[in-house]
Amino acid sequence: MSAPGIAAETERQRRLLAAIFAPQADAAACGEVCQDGARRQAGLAAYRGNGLAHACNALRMQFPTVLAMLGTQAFDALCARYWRACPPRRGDLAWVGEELPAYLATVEDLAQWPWLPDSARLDWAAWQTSRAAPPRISAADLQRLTEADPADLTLQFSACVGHLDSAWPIVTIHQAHQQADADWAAVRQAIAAGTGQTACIWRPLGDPSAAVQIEALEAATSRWVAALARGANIASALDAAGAAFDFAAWLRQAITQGWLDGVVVLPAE
Amino acid sequence: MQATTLLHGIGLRQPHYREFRALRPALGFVEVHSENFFNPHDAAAQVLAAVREDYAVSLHGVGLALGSACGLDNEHVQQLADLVARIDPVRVSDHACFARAPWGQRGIAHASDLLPIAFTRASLDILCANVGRVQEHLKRPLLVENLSAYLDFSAREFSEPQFFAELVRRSGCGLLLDINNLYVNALNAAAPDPLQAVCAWIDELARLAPAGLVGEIHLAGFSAQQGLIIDDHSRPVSEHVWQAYAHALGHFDAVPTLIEWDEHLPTLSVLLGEAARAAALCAARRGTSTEAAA
Repeated sequence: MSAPGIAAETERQRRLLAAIFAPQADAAACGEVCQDGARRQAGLAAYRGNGLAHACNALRMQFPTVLAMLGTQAFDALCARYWRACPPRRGDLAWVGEELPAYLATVEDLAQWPWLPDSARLDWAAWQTSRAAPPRISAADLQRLTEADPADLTLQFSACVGHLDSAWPIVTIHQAHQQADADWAAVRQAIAAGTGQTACIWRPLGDPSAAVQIEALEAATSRWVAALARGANIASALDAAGAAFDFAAWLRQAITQGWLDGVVVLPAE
Repeated sequence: MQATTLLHGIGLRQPHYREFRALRPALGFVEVHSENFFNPHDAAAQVLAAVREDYAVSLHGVGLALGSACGLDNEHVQQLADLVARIDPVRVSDHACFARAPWGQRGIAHASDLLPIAFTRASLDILCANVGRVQEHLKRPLLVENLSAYLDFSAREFSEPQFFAELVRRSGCGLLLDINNLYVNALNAAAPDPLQAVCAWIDELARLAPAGLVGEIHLAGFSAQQGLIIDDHSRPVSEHVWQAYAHALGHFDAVPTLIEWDEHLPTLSVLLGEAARAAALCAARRGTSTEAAA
């Protein structure tokens, strides 16, 4: 392959891609193409429309709560701004929403809904969980749990479960947008009170088509999962959770729902 | 259901999953979009695994961006290889397009679309190198599809059939001949006789390329939108495309043929009716071939 030839093709392709992602359609920016005038404008518009439509369709599936909050028209307008600001890096549209939560935090005209980025994080966590690999926990892991000192062990979460801390009542907001007869006064009250929530997101074990479950953790469980996420040993995590935490009940659910990948022996200090 | 004598197939899309599995229609294969099944752990993967027990599957990708001068996405290639290993498809295909290009500090941008490539020597080198890499990784030949293009680069050192004939010769890949794409291009180029233009394209390819280069044919419908004909697979196959298909069969003999329908999905019976028409044309062609051989 000749280097100048490759460089010329790279530049030709870069220019067309830049014209597609540019905020305003500028047919002159496509580079040297056969079409001109209105035909060139129409060709560029087709490409600008196709890529955006594909991204929008995927983002609607990935962010149902944000879509419900904003409505279709505003959501599609947001998608267009996001798509141009953060062009996809991959050809697999399953990843197109990866940067949307962080992007939402930068959009000034959405600042009046400061919980929106966290709601988007919750949607994204649910999307990822719906595609998660099954848990890898083995009988040997469970055996370890009965034999070793809890101070020497920690628990590894599987990809089938996620936890998300927010300063906003994101689970209450999410659930309200799933219901036809939501108690919006209660939602407004929770937002006004600044009641933060930790969301637990999981996919029921053994049924990839089952809906992802989302619930708010009570404080003790929230402290427990936060400690484990920091890499604490089981004994320390139990201390952090406090006396109100029911370890046996949590472990039973964690095993039956596939929340754990392993019980790991920590290296000696 | 895996009748080796049947050559016609349909694109299997999510709204038809349940009815399709209940009906189990007689088809040579079903086609799915590779990227929709990259994840081995979701519900779609389960559906495909079940369908694969009864049907041959043709994996058709839209994201490899084989003509990208900046190269391929290694992770995408690996995910395709993993899917191929799981499904053991009858054919694997993608498009002669680019979609990836350098994008400042973000590294790369992907257009999520099938963008045109220039029919130049350098572009052919790039496409051959990328196709070769994928084939090496998959340990099997690819089929590469001709595009419907809404813009054409002025730089051109080959006609499009010449370009594809060279691609096949140099890379060892096959061609996925999309006849609707040829027709859409002819309409958008305001060809005085679009059907004749498509047949001339096919004639030139048949003259230049080795026998057996066409591994699959795609047929679809299109729509008119804002001054252009858009290849959106939203309608029945047009009569001119059926005529061009019959013309292509005359050159390439009976070839596995897919009815693509992605937008405004019809009922499954309508889709199967279109596939049956393709099957009838293939069967007629086979009859003609047999008579000629006798």
